[in-house]
Amino acid sequence: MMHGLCRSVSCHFEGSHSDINQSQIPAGATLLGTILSSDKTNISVLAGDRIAHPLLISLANIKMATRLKLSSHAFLLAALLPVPKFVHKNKRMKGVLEDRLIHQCLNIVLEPLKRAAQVGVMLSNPWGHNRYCFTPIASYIVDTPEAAMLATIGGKTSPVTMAMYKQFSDPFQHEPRTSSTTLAQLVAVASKADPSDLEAYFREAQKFRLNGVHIPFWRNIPMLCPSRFLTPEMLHYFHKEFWDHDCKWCINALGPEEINFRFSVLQPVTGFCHFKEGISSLKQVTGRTHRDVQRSIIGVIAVSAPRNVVIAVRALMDFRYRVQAYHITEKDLELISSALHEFHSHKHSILDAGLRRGTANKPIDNWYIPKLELMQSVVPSIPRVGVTIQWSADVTEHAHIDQIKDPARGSNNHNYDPQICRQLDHLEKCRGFELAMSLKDPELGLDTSTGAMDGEPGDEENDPSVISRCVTDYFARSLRLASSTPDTVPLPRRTFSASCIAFNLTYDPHIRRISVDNAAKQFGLSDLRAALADFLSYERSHSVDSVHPIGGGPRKAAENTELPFEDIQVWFKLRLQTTEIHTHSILPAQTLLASPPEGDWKYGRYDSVVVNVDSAKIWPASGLQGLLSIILFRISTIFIPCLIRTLDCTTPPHYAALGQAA
Amino acid sequence: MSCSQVYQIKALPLSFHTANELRKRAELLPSGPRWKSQEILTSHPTKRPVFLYWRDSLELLQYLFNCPEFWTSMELTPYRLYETAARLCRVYMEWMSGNDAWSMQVSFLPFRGFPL
Repeated sequence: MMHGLCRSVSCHFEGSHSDINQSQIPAGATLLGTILSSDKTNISVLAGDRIAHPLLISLANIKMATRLKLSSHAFLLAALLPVPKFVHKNKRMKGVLEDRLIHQCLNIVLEPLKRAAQVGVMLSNPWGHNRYCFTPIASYIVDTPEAAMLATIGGKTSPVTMAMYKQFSDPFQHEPRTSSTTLAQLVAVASKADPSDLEAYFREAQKFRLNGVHIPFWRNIPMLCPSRFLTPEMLHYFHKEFWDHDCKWCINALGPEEINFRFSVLQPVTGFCHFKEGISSLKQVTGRTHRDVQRSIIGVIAVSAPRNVVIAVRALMDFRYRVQAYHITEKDLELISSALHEFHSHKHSILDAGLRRGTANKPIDNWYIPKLELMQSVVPSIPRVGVTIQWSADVTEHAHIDQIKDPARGSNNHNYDPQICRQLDHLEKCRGFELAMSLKDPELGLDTSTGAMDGEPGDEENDPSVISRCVTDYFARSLRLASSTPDTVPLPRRTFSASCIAFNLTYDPHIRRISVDNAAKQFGLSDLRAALADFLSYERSHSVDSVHPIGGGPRKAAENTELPFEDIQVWFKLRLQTTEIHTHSILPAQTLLASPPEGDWKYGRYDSVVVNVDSAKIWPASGLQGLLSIILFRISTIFIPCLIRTLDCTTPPHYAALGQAA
Repeated sequence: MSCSQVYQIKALPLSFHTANELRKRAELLPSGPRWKSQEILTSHPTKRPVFLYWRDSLELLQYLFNCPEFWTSMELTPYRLYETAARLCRVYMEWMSGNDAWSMQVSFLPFRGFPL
């Protein structure tokens, strides 16, 4: 796969004449895919139920890498939809009125866009050239209840297919709910009841499983169909689904005490949440936590939960992880659908074991989970609109912070909406001024690398879910150090790389000087001396630039071998950096820690890591098994001979990652 | 501020001499889309009058399309991406690599080549 990528071939416009249909745009015109997103959000801190309902807008033409970066401000606030309080005695009707109002407002806001989607519009690019543009809606990013509201669907029904709740567990996708179907149903409803007679209209609409909205905002555009623009949304489809369902099954399978205990004894890893108190009693968890639980749940439940339950949960996890890729091939699509299929063929075991439970711990004997049905639409959507991760609500929910919450904080807590607008206006003026300054004087530069959300200080460099941060490039640093003259950089080099891994150590070692024998005693490594001797002889016979293991198996050298040095330096912390497998862009570095034996930890504590030590093999093409010699070892401590520095400072330093190989 | 300071500031080689002038210059720049507000008349009574605050969606798109920051990462033509030149296996990434964008764009365009 990796090799194929390098030769990726693209062909532009090579469709056949038969493709032409009414949704096509004229020759020479430009497609501008609009992205919309709306979601209710709480704006007040401590001040009751102040809710804003922002509508954000962006362009699908902007590449994901830029668009998903929070600091790029690619999502703009298009409208603050009203959140009114209707005076109506029936709560249900209040909901219908609110839904109708949202559609009415969307109609006003999106009217120019809809016209441009049909007849086109001239827009100018930064050089003042005009382009004839068409603006179809590429995606509308919403959570599940709001998706139903937009599709004018009532509860317990899929917004994108014809499935109703009893069919949610079917292992196939139902036929899509096209706009023409819904519109025909609306005509049928209107023939029986007058839309202004709310109760009667709602009763009739319910027969078609509709929500009582009589004028949907997407009604008059053929290209605009909810089943197309409601793209699968990762945050709600996958992560919330995992937390609400998969995780509960696992807790029920093992029992809360057992699963909490297992989570509490997991090795803490820098940058990821560690659940000291377990997971069963967590409240108000964020998407980050969902993801951190996902990382270890399979390992935690393996063996103890029934075999088929583990298979089902694991298959769903496979599905989730594969869909999150930034680059999906047709082969990957097959794997994704087979993972989902595997879940469906094993899911009965979850019900059989009575793991799906409702209130008062009563077993539920059905699969009426809307998100399960929505998962079926993931695979068909990828060939249509590209990878799913770009339509994630993560970025729009973060955009709420700087588009809504921060401006609201600066207000006087009364009548938020106009104040938010005014503040955004000011901010945009300031940004425009900055931009003009940076265009005039390129050295000033537009500061896009900083100023992103900084909600969680202290984990800047270890959070893979946040794309916005500036990542330190240890590869570049190691190359720079390797090419500089020995006198100008501190030796041994603290940053070095081998094929696709870069290593970084702090400038100061944690133990400045310790004799080999003392180190052996302190770290409980009786064969340290022999291992170091083996390492040196390996370095002499092989290239010094490759990663190679020491440890595991019998030592070649005798235990009391003479070493060319007596003292060593010791590091407890190592930062590893790798590259993204699809794009080869660098990933944030990961910190690995080790602590020597002390107290209850007789053997010390070590982080594990899987490293490819055979430069002829490339992950993931070679897989974990077969020819690829991957050593799972515990980075215990990094030892550097102290004295050797003076003898041999031109060759790369002899770093030894000592491991008691697993 | 003493007189000498005022003279010093006036002597600076700047195009503005007061904060107000600088602000006026900033205001000269093309501004973002303007906010509008309108009262929405509802069929049923509400506790408070309903106001919608909004900006023209097309102006917003124009603003994004016109923004020099995004120009380098803007894709304007749909494409099909394959793993190898044999074109056996499609690769999906951005919206423009998907079939929706492809089928909306007209099929007969001036060039039929596919750059490698």
